[in-house]
Amino acid sequence: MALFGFQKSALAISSAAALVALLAAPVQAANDAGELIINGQVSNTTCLLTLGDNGATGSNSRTLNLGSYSTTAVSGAVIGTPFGSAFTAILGLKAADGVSACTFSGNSTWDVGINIDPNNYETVSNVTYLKNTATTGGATNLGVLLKTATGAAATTPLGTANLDLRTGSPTYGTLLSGSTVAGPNVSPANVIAVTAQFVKTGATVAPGVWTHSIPLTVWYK
Amino acid sequence: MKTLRFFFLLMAFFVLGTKSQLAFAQFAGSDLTSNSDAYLLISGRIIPASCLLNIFNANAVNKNVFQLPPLPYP
Repeated sequence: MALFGFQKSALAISSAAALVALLAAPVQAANDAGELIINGQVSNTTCLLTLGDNGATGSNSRTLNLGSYSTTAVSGAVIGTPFGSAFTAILGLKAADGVSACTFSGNSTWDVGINIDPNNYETVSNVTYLKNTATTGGATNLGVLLKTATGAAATTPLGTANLDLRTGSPTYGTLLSGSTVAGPNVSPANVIAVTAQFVKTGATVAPGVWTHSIPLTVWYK
Repeated sequence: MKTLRFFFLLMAFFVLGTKSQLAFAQFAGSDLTSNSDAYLLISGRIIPASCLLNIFNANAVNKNVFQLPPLPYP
């Protein structure tokens, strides 16, 4: 009991000392604030997502530049009908060296999921189009249609089926393969072709830039 | 039976109690890789001019590389 009383006294004294030290200390303001985020995971299969060329794969970013078109040329386009040149990105999987085939472990299929916010796509005649996300000086009434296909890498497939951005599960989002089965459904040796093309979504297209960045997430199953 | 039910409820609590896609995926038998920092960027431009600049020359077969003749050193 005496020992307990001593401990209480010691605790009270140390608490009071800490309070005094806190009050006596000069006020210091933090110069800046920051955040260090460290994350990672352990997965049965980890392959390198290839984006169609070595530069893009190395930088984890593939750009499809659909080109420049004049308002005069666009005025003749039909709403909902793609115009201009279509550009395709071939997504595949390789081992860490970027050359040899990736070995699956515990999984048998893969896919790439995207999550497009409903504010960032529009639906015209039951077809979904990416909207322009340029914050200033952006072209208006102009969307991009994504078409997808899967196949052997050697055949360099082109996207053929419209990607419905409304579909997808809370888990995977919209799968770029266009798979509507429960989850990833692409075999390891196959690639996913994503083809993008401009589409007029309104009567008059105002000039400006058009841009949309899509984060890609690889799923295995 | 009660033990099984307990473990199932425990698993459901942890899986459903998080918004983590990975947790849902593992519950569904899938894995998520670390490739989430990859991007597909689509860009383009509509220009107000009614004409586009057209570059034409007969040297296009040389990929528009013009080789200038050597100049004598003064």
